[in-house]
Parts: sequence; C-alpha cells; structure tokens
Amino acid sequence: MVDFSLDLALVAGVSGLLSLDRRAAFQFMASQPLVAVSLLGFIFNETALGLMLGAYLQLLWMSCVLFGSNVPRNDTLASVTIAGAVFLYGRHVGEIDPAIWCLAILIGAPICIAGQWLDIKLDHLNLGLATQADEAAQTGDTRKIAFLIFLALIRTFFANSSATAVFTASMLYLLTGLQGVLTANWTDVLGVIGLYLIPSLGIAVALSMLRHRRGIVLASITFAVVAAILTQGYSA
Amino acid sequence: MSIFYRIDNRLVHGQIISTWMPHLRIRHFVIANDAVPENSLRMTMFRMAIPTEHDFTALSIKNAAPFLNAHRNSTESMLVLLESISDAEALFDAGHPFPSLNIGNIHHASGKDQITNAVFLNHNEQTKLRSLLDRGVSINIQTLPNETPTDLRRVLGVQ
Amino acid sequence: MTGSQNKANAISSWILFRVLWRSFFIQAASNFERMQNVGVCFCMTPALRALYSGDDLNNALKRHLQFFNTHPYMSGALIGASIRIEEDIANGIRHPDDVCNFKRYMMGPMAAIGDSFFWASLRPFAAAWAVMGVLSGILWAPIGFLVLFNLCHLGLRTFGLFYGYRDGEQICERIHRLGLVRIADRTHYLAALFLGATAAIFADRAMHSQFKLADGVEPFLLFSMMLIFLLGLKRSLSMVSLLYIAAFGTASLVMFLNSAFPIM
Repeated sequence: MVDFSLDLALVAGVSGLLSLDRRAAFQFMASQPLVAVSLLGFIFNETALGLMLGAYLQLLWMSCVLFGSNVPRNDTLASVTIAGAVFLYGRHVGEIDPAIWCLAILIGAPICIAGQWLDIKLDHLNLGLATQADEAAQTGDTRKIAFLIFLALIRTFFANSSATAVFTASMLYLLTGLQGVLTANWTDVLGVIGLYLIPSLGIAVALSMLRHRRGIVLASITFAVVAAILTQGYSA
Repeated sequence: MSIFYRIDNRLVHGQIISTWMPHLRIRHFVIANDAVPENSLRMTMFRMAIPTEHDFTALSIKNAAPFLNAHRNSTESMLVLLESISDAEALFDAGHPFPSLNIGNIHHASGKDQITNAVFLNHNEQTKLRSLLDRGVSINIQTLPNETPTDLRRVLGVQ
Repeated sequence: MTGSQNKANAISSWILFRVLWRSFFIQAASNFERMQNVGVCFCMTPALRALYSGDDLNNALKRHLQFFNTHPYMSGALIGASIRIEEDIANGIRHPDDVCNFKRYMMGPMAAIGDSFFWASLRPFAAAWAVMGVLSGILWAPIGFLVLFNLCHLGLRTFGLFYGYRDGEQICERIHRLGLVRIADRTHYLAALFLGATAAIFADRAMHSQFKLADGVEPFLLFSMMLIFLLGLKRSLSMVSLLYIAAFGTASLVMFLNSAFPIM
C-alpha cells in the first residue's frame, strides 16, 4: 500500500510539472502526450510500452491547440492519467496486455473534458490575481507581482496533480474491476479497437489539422506506396 | 455569395489564420476599419500574417460598403473583419446591410458584462446589437469553428 | 552628465537576460479578462525598474497591465521592442501611449504568425515525424521532437527579445523576412507524408496480428475508417464522441460475428 501511494504520488507529481509546461511556464512541449507518456514509461521502467502508448495518444490529441482566448481539451491530463493508470496496473495488479491499455484509453478519453473545465476554472481564479496586480502597481510593489505569478504556478501545479491522483486511482480501480469480468469476446472487441479504431481515429485527427486538401491526397498516396512496400517486403 | 462577417478586437490573429481560414476556405480578407489603412506598420503586419496567396484589402468603413456591395456576387469566399460593434453598425448604416454576423472576441474593459469567456459587452454595445437584431441580422457568438455557436438572441433574452 | 544619458545605458544585457527568463512565465496568470497582462508586467519589471522610479514606475507598471494576448514564443520580440520604446519614453523622446499602441496593434498579427507557424504547422509536423519514428523503432524520437521544436522556439524567443530591443518597432520587419508563414505552409505537406507512412505502419501491424482478416483487407479497412472519421471531424464531431460511437459499433459487430460464426 505504501508502495502504491508512492507510485501514485509520483504520477501526480510528474503530471503537475507537465501541466505547468503545457501552458503556465516554459512551454517546451514536454507536455505533449508523446513526450509525457514516454517519460512516464521511462520512470516506470516500461519504456517500450510508454513510447507506443505515447504515439497513439499523441495522434488522438494532435488537434488540441491553444488559439488565443480559446481553451482546448486538456490532452496532458488525459494522457498522463491513462498512462499512469496502465503503468500502475502493471506494477501492482497484473500483466499489461493490449486489452488493458485499450480499455484505459476508452475510459480515460473524457478526462480531457474534465481537464478543460479545470483550465477554465483556473483562468477564472486568476482574475483575482489580475485585480491584485492592479493594486500592487498602484504602489510600485513589483515583488507582489512576482509573488502573484508564483502563486498562479503553485495553484496550477496542485490543481492538476490532485486531479491526476484522483482520476488515476479511480481508473485503476475500474480497470482492476473490469479485468475480472472481461470474457474472451470482450478481449476480441478491445483488440480490434486497439488495432483498427484508435489508429485510424488518431490519423484522422492529425490529418484534420492539414491546411490543404492536397495534403490529404498526398497522405493517401504515401499510405498506398508504403503499405505496398511493407507487404512486398514480407511476401518476398 | 459567401461573405462572412466577424467582430474581433485583434482583427487578424491565430484563430483567423489557423482555423477559420481553412474551415471557410477564405480567399480574400477585408478589414473594414477607419484607422488601419492609414497605419503603414499595421498594414505590413497584417499583410505578413496572411499567407501570400490570399488577398488582403483594408478599407475605411465608408469605402468598404460600396466595395462589399460590388463583391456581393463574387464566387470566392471573403472574410470581413470588424474591430468593434460600433464599426459593424457603421458598416450596416453606410449602405451594406449584411445578413449575418459572427462575434469572436471582444475584450474586457471596465463596466462590461461577461457574456462568454471571450466576449465582454457593455450596455451601449448591447443596445447596438439589439438594434441590429431588430433589423434582421442573425448574430451568433462563436470563437472557433469547432465550437457550438451561441445565438445572441438567447444571450440577450430577445424574442 | 544629464539624467537622460544615464538612462540610455540603463538596460544591460543582464537585464535583458532576466527579462528573457521571466518571459517563460508569461502565461502563468492567464485570465479571461486581460489574458497575459500580469505575465507581461512581470516580464517588463526588471527593465522598468532600471528606467523609472517612484510614480513613473507605478504608471509604467499600470501601462503594462492592460489587455495583452499574443503567441508566447513571439512575446520575446514584442517585449524587446517595448523595452526599446520604454527607454525612449524615459528619455522623453516619445509619448507613453506609443508603447500601448504598439503592443495593442502588434499582438494580433504576431499571434497569427506564431499560431500558424508553431501550433498549426511545426508542432504537428514534428509530432507526426516523432510518432512515425517511434512506430518504426527509433527510440529517441521523442527527444528528437523536443530538440527540433525547441531549437525553433528558443531561437525565436531569444532572437526576438535581443533584436527587438536593438531594432525597436523594426523587429516586425525582421520577423517578416524570416518568412515563417511560407515555411509553415510547406511543413503541412511533409506532415502529410509522415502521417500517410504512419497509417501504413498501422495497417502492417494489423495484418500481422491475431485479428487479421482476409488477405490484404486490413489496409482498406483502416483507410476507409480513417476517411469516415475525417468526415466526422470536419462535421465538428469531437474526437471523444467519435471514439465512443465507433467503439460501440465495433463491440456490437464483433459480438454479432462471434455469436453467428462461433468457430471464428
């Protein structure tokens, strides 16, 4: 139990730091699902699975872009929670098979909406900081302004890491419960979802970012050529 | 005919170029504003923010009305950007009664009510919008194409 | 020596470095009312403190607490140029309104360039490459993604701030000459190439799994599903709802097939 709590705290801590990188500070894009999940996989000694899961999640949330005043779905919170639950499952419950991580993606996808809601709430909370900054400027109190920035960072960190802890723990509970009732039929369903549905949806999301129609034609031609080469390679 | 009208305080910015432009297949950007055509720095900046294969015209409101009337039946999609609600009303009054209007971003200022996360309106602006609604313009609030538009009638409680 | 000459040398490189460091936190206190205003004020503080004191400082701080919203990576250029204008204001050459107008007029176009270059082009391009890399066995692809992206990010941020301070308003012209919007357009085609290849790798995986169907059907299935999803996304359906609709469909189909043809 102590082990488990430490691992959960680790996931929550990493998630908090990444949530800062997402919007509040630096923006080195370590918060992109691919990097975030690979990092988490590296920490939990599941590098190969982390990279693959990261690639799937990156494609699914490729179109989460922060344009101006618009707050998008929170891809970081969702993907870190999904990956965190999968890795914790591997450590404390049982072996990770494709059905488990497919199930995790299915359960965890809507967390991006919860994350968006959290971002909006934090933005509203920051209104108070803007008002306090006005007061600080009246008296030239630049330290106060620096402190307000610090406060906003701390708040973002704790809000996101506690949300991650709660979501990861509940998802792990769900995964453990569902794993017992998964019949062979359901494993088949999840296998098909993981092999066909999630990749094609991910590619579609990424393609929807392309600015020109010609881009989609180009992608289709590349697909045909590369697929032909790959199949030729195996039959030869 | 496909002319789209949008009120946005920052005129051309990321939301316009990266989302609305591909979504509406915009070929021609028109800024109807009295200050922009006279400010060469702003003109350069707008020209460089809009990809070169797209046309860009900035006109004062007085000149924009006949220009838009002349392009009413053109086949290419056009996006008309207005800085404020008063500009929109001025364009309407200057002889170009547009059928629909999209409100994107209107920034906060003291004395304004928050309508959505990106739109803040004061009493005067609300009155102007009501009068536009009365004159048959359909107005919605929508920041990005993938958002569900909010009908202004519902927000202002107009029948 | 007069006061104005002192102020001409007041901004040292050290102060610019401090501003650069602070510019990483520009969105920390982002709020819907005035967006990055607290962040900009925080960034400008070292420079403003070097230029002003007393009431002048308070007024300068208040100037920079007005609405501000631009692309975070382009903020370097705008802040650098703003420091140059503030210096002129401190020397009495220009009017305080100049800096407010400069920021107000430039934030939109700069955001347009930054959004379309970084968010809508470079990031999908680098991410598509990294995803393809990971799936074809390049284990360092995520690190490659970070390096490629951040070389551009940090380069533009630093370049923008230092040249912005040197050139003032002319920085916009300089950024124009970088031709970012044109490069952005090109990366979309490269991203399309990578995505097509990624889809082919997925098809290949499906063909060599335990769920393979009749010979060679997998690529067509994957491809047609991709097109259906793309249509759905273009019709403004969200990714999450598409995922659930399709998952439900798959579940019903597989359950039906398994009960109709038990041997399979």
